[in-house]
Amino acid sequence: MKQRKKSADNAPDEHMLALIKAAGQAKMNSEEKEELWQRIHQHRQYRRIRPWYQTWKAAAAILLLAGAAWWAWPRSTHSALLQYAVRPVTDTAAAETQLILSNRQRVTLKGKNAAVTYRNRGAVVHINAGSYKGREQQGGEAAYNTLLVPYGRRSTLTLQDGTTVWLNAGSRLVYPAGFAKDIREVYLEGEAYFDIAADAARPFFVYASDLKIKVLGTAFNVSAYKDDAQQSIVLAQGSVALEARQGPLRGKAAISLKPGGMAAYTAGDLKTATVNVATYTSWKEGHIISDNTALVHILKKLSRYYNEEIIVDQRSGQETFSGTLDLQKTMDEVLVAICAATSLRYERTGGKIFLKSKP
Amino acid sequence: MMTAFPDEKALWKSITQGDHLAFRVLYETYADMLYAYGLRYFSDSATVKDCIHDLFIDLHLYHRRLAEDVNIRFYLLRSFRRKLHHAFRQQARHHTGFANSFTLVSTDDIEKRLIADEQQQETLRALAREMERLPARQKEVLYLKYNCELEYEDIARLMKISVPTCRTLAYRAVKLLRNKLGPVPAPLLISMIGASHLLR
Repeated sequence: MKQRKKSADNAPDEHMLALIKAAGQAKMNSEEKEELWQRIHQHRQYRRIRPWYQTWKAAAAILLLAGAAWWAWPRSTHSALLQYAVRPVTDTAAAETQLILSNRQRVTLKGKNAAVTYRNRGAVVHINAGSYKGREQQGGEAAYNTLLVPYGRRSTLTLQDGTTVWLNAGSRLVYPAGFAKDIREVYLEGEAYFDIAADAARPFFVYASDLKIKVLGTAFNVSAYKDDAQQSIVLAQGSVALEARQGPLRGKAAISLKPGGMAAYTAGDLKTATVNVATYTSWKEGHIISDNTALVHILKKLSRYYNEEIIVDQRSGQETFSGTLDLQKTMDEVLVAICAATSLRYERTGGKIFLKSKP
Repeated sequence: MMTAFPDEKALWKSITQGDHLAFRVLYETYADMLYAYGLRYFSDSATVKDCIHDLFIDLHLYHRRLAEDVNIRFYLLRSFRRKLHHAFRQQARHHTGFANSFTLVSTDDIEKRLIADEQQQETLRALAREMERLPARQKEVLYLKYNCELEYEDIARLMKISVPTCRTLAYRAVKLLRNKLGPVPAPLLISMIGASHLLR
């Protein structure tokens, strides 16, 4: 009894609570808050006085790496395509989709949904239904092309063998203009949906993240953004086998997927699950299907799709959303739809979109 | 672009890895809480903003050395309190010292943030005056407990006192206020609570 009385005494009355809580209501307004962030952001960049590569530790590390690379080189199984593709790309900040030909010539593709088609064994490139015709030299295996799709853009690509690739915003695909006689290989960063033309004599390989995906005739989605913690492969039809070409799982047995199956690769761990395929592939038809999905995941997709920076606090980002979002609509229309279904509101400040809980 | 963190743990992990966007999300999530807490010690917002600035610069500078598993709210408040303390010593305006300069409720808070009629405002001011007469440490415990929603264990670590001391401070504060002021009429309570919910 005594104990109960004490604990009741220990809690403030509602009016005290109201005052204590009111004390914490003082807030910066949106402009002040953004201004302070800019100060932090700029200061942070000044502090980086010495670039990492000027330190002796970095020099030693590079020497070690160089030594290791020399040592490992003879055993390397990397294909010529991979060696070409993993080289860092300069100038990825272009606003429009770019096609980089094997002679390093850059062709800018206008429009939100550029289409590229390779015909005649890769010798002729059609862009946007004939609005541009380029000739790609017949260099055989060595003629690698790159399609760079920036944020805010999508692209479809028909390869020389009839394979169709839908590339989502913020993606890079490296492929030969014409495939070799015995193998078809492409390299992906970002997200793409593949509809592979059947050809039993020439297996198709997709390299994405640490994974190597082997396919025959089949359709599947690969999401392998560098800034995502998880990479995924979702199989719509046919069958694929995947194994790690590098990283901690290298040398482990290959995993095969059945239609409706997903392989998720996170921090060197590969797991499979059965999923609703449409929620992973609907982007190529121009909508996002969500089923109790945390908002952070949806907003990340929207941010890439519309090329707008979206900032959401931790708590709000955990709210879930179910339904279909039409990506033909404007960013604001989509945000209004999300806010109507959740406890959030959005505002634009300093060129960015902030999602906050409703007052 | 947009960064998504499934939970606080993932957010903090990205902070320790120096992820720029994680810092942005951390800032968006906690800047308001830190700002309000800073205003308990300093009436000028410029100093409080400077301290938030310094805190985030340090976090970025030392992100590799940050502990892995932390309660972010507690960790930020503790580091921030050190920044405030440092700024206080530099300004050296008071003889009273940092620990005694905690202001719980300013009249500004009452007038701007709580919607109440004149009579209610007067009652609230009387309460605020009494609250303000409490020892600074008692006020700070109340604030950290009921505004920042920290546990006594964390408050004790933050204020560098023992957990029983911490509980006693809160208990005494509430008891003191109870003795000074009788029960407040129910309609006023409801209006105040209602108002405080409408404020955000």
